[in-house]
Amino acid sequence: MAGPELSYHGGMESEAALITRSKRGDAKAFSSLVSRYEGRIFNLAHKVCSGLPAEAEDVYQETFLTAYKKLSGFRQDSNLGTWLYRIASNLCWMRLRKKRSEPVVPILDHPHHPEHAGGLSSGPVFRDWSDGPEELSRKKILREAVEAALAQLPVDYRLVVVLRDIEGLSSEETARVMKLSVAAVKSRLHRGRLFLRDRLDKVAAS
Amino acid sequence: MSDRGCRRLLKHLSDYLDKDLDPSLCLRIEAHMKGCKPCLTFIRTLKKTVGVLHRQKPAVPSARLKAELRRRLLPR
Repeated sequence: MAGPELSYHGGMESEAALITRSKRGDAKAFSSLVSRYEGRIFNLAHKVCSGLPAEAEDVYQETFLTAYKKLSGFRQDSNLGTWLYRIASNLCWMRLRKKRSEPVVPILDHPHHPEHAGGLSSGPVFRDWSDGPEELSRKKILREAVEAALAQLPVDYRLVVVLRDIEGLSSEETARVMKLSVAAVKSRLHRGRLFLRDRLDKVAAS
Repeated sequence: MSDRGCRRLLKHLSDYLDKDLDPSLCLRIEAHMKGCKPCLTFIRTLKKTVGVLHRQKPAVPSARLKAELRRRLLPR
């Protein structure tokens, strides 16, 4: 999946010019920057704070208010999109840690099948729910199931899955946002996906 | 293919789906899946899971919320 451009070039007033004006205290220039990024930041907050819409709204607002306050420390050669995602990710993390205890879920290094205590190649096979008619109700059920399952992932994993698989960032961009190594991003992404697959498997069986 | 073989490949499946894997390992995975139905089913359902994530509807901030943020950024 192609990742989104994390900065804007050309077209209207350049991003660099808007940042310079914003640093001088021009709130209207900053408001133009907000318009360019608010959709992505809100989506990140909404997906990570799944089931907590008030928290998502607070994260959205606080991200831009914090960024405006700290803009003088923003290095012009950095990427504004990455910086905003980092602020939003930190705010999500802090709020969710405060709000509720971390969900205790088995992060699957090995896929689970109730009748299949052995390996993948022995015993009953996994259910194949990957194809078949994609009627609207089924799509909706899967979308809702994945949203519910995301809320059960520990926030460190949830952030990586949302940045990579929903926001469409590359592993390298996600690593910069999360201040992790690329290997750590890939590991969390893989384990998060295994967990979500397991949850969808249960929904498909019911 | 032994169960250990399945488990060894399992850890590479996300990289395989993301086309971020050494070509020789890709070929090994594909050869393995030809003879291992559980692994084939597993990777299909993992791919489907990733597809569902990619197609999640984007959430959009309401006009009220956007206006509230502007009010806080641009105090009169």
